[in-house]
Amino acid sequence: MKGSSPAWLLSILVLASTGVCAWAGDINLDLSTSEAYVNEPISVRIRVINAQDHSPPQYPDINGAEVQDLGQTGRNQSVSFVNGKMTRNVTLTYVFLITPTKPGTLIIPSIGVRVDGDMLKTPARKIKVTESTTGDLMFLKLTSDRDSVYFGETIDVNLEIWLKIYRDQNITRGLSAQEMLGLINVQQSNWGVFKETLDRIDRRDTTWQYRRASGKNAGGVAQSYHVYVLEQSYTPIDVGPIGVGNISVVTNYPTRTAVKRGIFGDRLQVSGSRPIRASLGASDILVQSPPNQDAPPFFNGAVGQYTFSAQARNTEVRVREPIELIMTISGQGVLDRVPPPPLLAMEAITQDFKVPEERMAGLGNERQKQFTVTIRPKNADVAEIPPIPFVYFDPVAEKYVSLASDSIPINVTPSEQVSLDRFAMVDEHNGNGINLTQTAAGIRANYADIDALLSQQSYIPGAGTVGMLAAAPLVYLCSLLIVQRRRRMSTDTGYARRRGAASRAVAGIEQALQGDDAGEAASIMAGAVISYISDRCNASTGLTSAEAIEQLTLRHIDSESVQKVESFLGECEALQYAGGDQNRDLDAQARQCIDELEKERF
Amino acid sequence: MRLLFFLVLTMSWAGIASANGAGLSLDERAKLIERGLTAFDRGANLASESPAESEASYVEAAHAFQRVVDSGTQNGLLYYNLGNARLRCGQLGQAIANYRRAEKFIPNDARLQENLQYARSLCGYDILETTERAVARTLFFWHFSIPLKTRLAVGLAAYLFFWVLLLARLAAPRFSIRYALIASSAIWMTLAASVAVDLKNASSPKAGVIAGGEVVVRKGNGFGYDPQLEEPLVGGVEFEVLEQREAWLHISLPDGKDGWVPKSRAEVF
Repeated sequence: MKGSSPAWLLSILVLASTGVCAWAGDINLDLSTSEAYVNEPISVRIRVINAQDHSPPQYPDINGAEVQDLGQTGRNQSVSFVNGKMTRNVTLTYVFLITPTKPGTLIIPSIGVRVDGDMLKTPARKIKVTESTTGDLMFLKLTSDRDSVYFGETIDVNLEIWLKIYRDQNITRGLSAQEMLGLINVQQSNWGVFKETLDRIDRRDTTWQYRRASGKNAGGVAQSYHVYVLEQSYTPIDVGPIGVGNISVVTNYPTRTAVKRGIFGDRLQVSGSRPIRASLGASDILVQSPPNQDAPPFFNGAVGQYTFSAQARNTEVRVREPIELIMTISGQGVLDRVPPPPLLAMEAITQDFKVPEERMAGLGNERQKQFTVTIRPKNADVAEIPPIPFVYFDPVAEKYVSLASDSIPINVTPSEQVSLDRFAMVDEHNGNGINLTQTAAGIRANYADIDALLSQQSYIPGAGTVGMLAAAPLVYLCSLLIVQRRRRMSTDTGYARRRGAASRAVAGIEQALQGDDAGEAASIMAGAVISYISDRCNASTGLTSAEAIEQLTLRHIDSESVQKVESFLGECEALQYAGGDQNRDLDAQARQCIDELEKERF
Repeated sequence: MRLLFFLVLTMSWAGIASANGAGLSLDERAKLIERGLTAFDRGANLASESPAESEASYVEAAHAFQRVVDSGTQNGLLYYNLGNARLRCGQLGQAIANYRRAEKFIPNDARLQENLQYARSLCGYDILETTERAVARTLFFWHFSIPLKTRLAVGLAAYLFFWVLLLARLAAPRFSIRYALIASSAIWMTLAASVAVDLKNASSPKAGVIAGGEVVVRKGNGFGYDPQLEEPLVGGVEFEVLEQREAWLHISLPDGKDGWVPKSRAEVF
């Protein structure tokens, strides 16, 4: 950008001077083909042009086809200048894949798209759909080294894709194995358990196996095939013919080829194709159960070749205390599917131990699996955990194998626990006490009180709590202020005189108004004001008018206020000595003097 | 500041509760609870005769209780029942998660403690706690064993008593109440800190449990990271949440080891 500013400025100026215009919103429709085969997807592109505002197009369900909405796939913007005016076009492209599911005429309906407030419609289109017969062009086979497998055993299976080598009538050479492998449509095919193999191929952990083979079609004519093989280990999930999932493969089989010349030589290129689909039929490989008639007791479905052992973690316990029993199964087989030994069915265990009813969860890896269970001795006579049998079916030897762990010595002492859960019940007949012991396995019952179950509990403090938290320090602070004021009033005489000065002065003025003698009233009022000044200044009592004025001057009281006080005191003195009528404004002057001095806050 | 914190929490809690509760009426919730209880009892009765029907009944019970919880009702007994139903469905992780949620409301409930202990025993994955955590758990036993409401009530009483003592000292300064003041202030401050920790945890989940299956603990928040532990965790393993990043949780196990697990494979509370 640096150094190109003049060019940008020029562009902006040009744009500003010429003005910008855009065409009104519009839509158009584009199909990838007008003829299609069954299961061949048709690409439908709807372009929304120059729309300020629009609703994304949406196709309804179409009879005889499956619709897949790929959404908005592109946004193109172009600017052109025509006669000095700039035109800007913005095109949004929405793509749908419509896959015909039956032959005939497929009608792609018209749909409406709201563009800038107007409802615009795409045209309806007809597509001729024909069946693409697979015939002997492709077929699938499931093969294995073995004809049968026992349920619970893992088997290596191969998916063979037989694809007839395509030869153009005008070209002598057929398509190579690599060229035809590229025609298999992996995305549209269903791979069942072989999806995992394809993932490994993607990760380059394995590759397609290939061979060339020949076979005869229904008419007995010899055909050449490319055979592509996927290998997978699989553990069947049911007995009967082996099921590896619903597998069908789609290939874009060539209808014509062309020779393309290049610097490294000529090569064939597919210039026309049609989709063909082949599905995997029922397999000849049989999954069978281990023989029921020979199954020993405690056989729990384990198939493979295993070893079995058991250990106990805490062997010194009291009656009813837990012993952690760890049973380990190792070996070759599908350990994921090996269930735990059925302890609850073993009387040798259950007669002496309490065993939980919940299913044990196994932990481990591909080589080993461990089941841990907590068992509890029922009485103090139990001296060992008896051998635990483990039975599996060996698919190689085709027979059942019974193993047993070693017995584990334990030391059980009588329970000494004393609790409310455990109490003695007196037998009325013989007077002997029976100790009842609470078990630890299992869960306690639900609560059934509907009202309690519907109640709303909250552990967040409510407004009352918050109020109390705030109120307590406020109450304390108020109390503290009151107490401190009282204390100061009792200890600091100057403060006490100052605090009560105004009220005492007003009381004196009120008292002065009670009398009839104007001179005496003036004397009392002057005394009240002088007393007020001496209290405020914490000066000695019995000040003269001049001393009172001096006190005020010393404290730098506003001269106007001092003058008013001096004038008031002078009037009082004159009235007192010269006599005369009672001046009704004298008390007002006294109050005014006090108010003004109060404002001085000296 | 504390006052503001409590007020905001109280108001936001009330808002959330009313918003969730708008989904179901009280009658509908009561019917769901009745349905859940009936289904649970049916499941228990069919356990030996028809395990499949029994499991279906437990699933129905769990679904009914869960809907009531989702509608905004929160109480310890409901979480306890939901935990029972989840346990019977074989969902050990969810069972422990709901028992732990119930524990916040009714920590001293004997049935709850018994069932929680039993569910933990089924996990079969005993991770040893670090000494530091064990010591902390022992020292702060009161924080873990006393219900929050009780701690709040006692703390509030100590707080008010503290201020009353201060007032008494104003009125009668001759009497020495220093030790009573120190004791009451220590009690209310300790309990306030304990309550504050719980309230903070309530606003963002701090604990969790592996929901089920085997979960690989990774070194970072993505499947591209290598495993942090050789052994995968199994359903029912409890942990503390250190951090949340979109779909991943940074967790700390009782033995102090940490790592990342997908959020979708765990329940946090």
